[in-house]
Amino acid sequence: MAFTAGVRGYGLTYRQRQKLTVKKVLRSLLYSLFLIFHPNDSFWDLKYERRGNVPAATIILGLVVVTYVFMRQFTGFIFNPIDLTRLNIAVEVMSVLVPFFLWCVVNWSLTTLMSGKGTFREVYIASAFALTPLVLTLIPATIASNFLILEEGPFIWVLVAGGVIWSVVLLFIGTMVTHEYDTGKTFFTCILIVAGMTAVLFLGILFFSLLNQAYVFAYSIYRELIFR
Amino acid sequence: MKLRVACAIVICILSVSLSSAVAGAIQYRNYNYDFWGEPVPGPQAYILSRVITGNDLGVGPLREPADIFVRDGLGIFLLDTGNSRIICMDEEWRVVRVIDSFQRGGQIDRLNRPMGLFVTEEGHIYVTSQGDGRVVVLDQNGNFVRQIGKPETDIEGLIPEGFVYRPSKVVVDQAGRTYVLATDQYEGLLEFDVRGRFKGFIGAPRVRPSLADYIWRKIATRQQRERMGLFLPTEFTSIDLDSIGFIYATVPPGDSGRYDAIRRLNPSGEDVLRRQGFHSPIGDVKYAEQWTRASVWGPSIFVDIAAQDFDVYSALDGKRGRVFTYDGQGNLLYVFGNIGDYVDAFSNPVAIDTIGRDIVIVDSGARCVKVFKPTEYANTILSAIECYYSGRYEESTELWSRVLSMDANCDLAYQGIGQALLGQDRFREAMDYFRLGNDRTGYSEAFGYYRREVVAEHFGTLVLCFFVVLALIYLCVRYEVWSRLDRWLAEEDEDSGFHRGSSGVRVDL
Repeated sequence: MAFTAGVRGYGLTYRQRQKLTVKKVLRSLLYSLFLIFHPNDSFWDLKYERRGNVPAATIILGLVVVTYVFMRQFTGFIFNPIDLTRLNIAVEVMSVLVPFFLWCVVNWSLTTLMSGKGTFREVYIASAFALTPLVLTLIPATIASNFLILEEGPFIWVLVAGGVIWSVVLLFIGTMVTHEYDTGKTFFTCILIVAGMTAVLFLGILFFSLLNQAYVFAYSIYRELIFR
Repeated sequence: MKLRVACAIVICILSVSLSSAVAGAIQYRNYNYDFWGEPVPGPQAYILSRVITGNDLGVGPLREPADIFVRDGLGIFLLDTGNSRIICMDEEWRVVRVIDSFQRGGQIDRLNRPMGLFVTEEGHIYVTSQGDGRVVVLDQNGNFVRQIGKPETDIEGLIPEGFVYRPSKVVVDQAGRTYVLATDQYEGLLEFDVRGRFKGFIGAPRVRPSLADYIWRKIATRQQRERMGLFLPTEFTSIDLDSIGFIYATVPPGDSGRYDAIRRLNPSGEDVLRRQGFHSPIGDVKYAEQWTRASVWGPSIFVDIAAQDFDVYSALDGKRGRVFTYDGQGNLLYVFGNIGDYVDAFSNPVAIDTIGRDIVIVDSGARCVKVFKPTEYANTILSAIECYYSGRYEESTELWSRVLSMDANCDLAYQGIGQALLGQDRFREAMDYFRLGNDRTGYSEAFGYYRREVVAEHFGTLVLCFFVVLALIYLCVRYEVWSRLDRWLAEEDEDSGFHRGSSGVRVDL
C-alpha cells in the first residue's frame, strides 16, 4: 500500500494525468513568445512535444480579441476614424471570433480531405498561437497612436502591417507543419481555405436571409388571418 | 399645487404645438453631414422672403423662365425663355425694360429659345439663342452689339462632324473671353476670344477607362465593340463665373455619384476646387438607392451654381430642390429648399443666383422667381467666414461662438474656434475644439505643439523613464529571465507528476 501510494500518478486515470496545471498553461504561453521567432521547429514541438494546449490557445485568442477591442476603442483621436459612440463591443468581438473559427473549421474540414495530419484541436492551437504577433504589435501601436501626430502616422502603419503580415506568415507555416504539407500544397490549401470561408459565409448569409423571408411570409399570413 | 402643475402642463403642450405650427410653415429643414456622413439637423438657414411672378412685375405671365443674372449696380436680368425675352429690373425688382427684339442690320431680330444669359460689368448682355445656334451680345438698352456664331476652326477633327451647335449657358471673364456651354456636346466648354473667334475647348473632363473596360474592349468582337457605349466625357449642366474669373461648373453625377460633381476651372481648364470638407461637395451624401421604396433615388443632380463672395458657392439640386452652400474649403454650410406645392417649395427649379446674401431661385414649373433671405444663423456663418478671410481672427472667433450658441452641432464653428485658439498659442484648448469639430488635421497640429510643450516641461522625467526601461531590458537579457522562468515552470511540471510517459513511472520511496 505504501508503495503504491508513493508512486506519483499511480491510481490516477488517464484523463486525470492529462490534467493541466496552471504552470503548464503558463509555460505554453511563454512558449508562444519563442514560437513567433522560430516558427518551423516550434509548430512541430507545439504538436508533437505537447508544448501547446487548448487553454493556452484560448487565452491567446482572448488576448487577441481584447487587443482588437482595445485598438478600436483607444487608438488616438488622430488615427481613429470610428464613431466611438456607436462602437459595439459585441460586434467587435464577433469580427475577430467569426473569421477565426471559420478559418479553423474550414481548415480542418479541407485538410481532412486532403490527407492533412492535424486534428481540429491541433489546428485550433496552431492558429491561435500564430496570432501572438498581433497582440505584441497592436497594443504598442495603439498606445503610440495617442502620442503621435498625423505626419508620424507611417510608424503606426508599419507596426500594424508588420504584425498582420507576421501573423499571416505564421498561420501559413502553422498550417504547413501541423498537416505535414510542403510549401506548394500549403499555399494551394490556404487559397482553398479562404475560398471555402467565403462560401461558408455566403451560405450563412443566404440561410439567414431565407429564414428571415420565411419568417416574414409566415408573419404576413398570420396577420392576414388575424385581420380578415 | 395641482392647479399649478396643470397650468404648467397646458403651457408646455401649447408651446410645443405652437412651435411645431411655426416650424411646420417651412417646408424644408436645414441639415449638415457629420464626419461619418450622417445627417445632423441645424437651425433654418434661409427663409422665403418673396415670390415674384410675371404679373407682379406687370409684364404678363412668364413662360419657362430659364436663367437669371444679377450684376451689382446694373440690376437683375431674368430670361423668360418661353416668351423669348429678357426682363431687365433694378435691384428692387422694378421692371426697367423688356427686351424681346432688337435691330440687327436694319432688320428686326428675335431670340430663338434663349437658355442662358450673362451681363458684364460694362453692361453688355450676352444671351445664348439655342434655336439658331448663336450668342447674341446686346448693350444695356437692348441694342444689338454683335453676335458669336458657330465655332469655326482650321484644325481638322477639333469639331466633330455633324456637330449641331446648341449653346445653353454663357459666361464672360474679365479679359473678355467668352465661354459657352453647349447642349449634347462632350468636349468641354467652347472658348471664344475677345473678338468672338473660336479658340478651342477647355475643361473637358478626362475619360479614364478602367482596366476592366480595357480588357472587355480587347476581347470583344468588332460588332460588339460597335454596340458598346462610347467613352464619352460627361457634359456640364451649368456654369458660373466667380469674382476672380474662375468658372464653377456642375456635372451630372450618373447613377452612382461622383466626387467632382462641382468643379472650379481655372483659365487653363484645370479643376482647382478645394475638397477639404468631411465629404466632397456632391450635395446629399446619404441618399436612397435604386430599387428601394423611395420615390426619389440617387445622388443630387446640380442644375445650376452661383458663386458668392469669399469663395462661398451655392449649388441647386434640381432633383430634390435643395440648395447646398459650401465654403471655399468645401465644407457644407447649410441646406435649404424642397420640391413641392407649397409656396416655399419648388416645382421645377432651374436657375440660382445671389443678390448680396439673398438667394434667388428661378422656378420654371411655377413660373416665378423666389427670393430667400438668410436667417441670423446663416448671416453669422457668412460673417464669420468673411472676418476670417480678411484676417480679423478675433472677430471671427466671436462670430463662430455665436453660431455655436445657435447650433451646438456645427462642426465648422468648433473648427473655426480651434483655428483661432491655435493662432493664440492656446494649444490644449484648441485640441478640445478640434476634437469637437472632428478636425483631425487641426487637432494633429495643435497636439504637435502641445506635445512639444509637455516634453520640454518634463524632459528630465522622460529621460529617466527611458533609461529605467533600458536598464530593465538589459537586466532581463543579462540574467536570462525568460529561460529561468521557463525552467521554473517546467520543473514544477515535473514535480507535480505531469508529463510523464507510461513507461517513465518514477518510484518515490
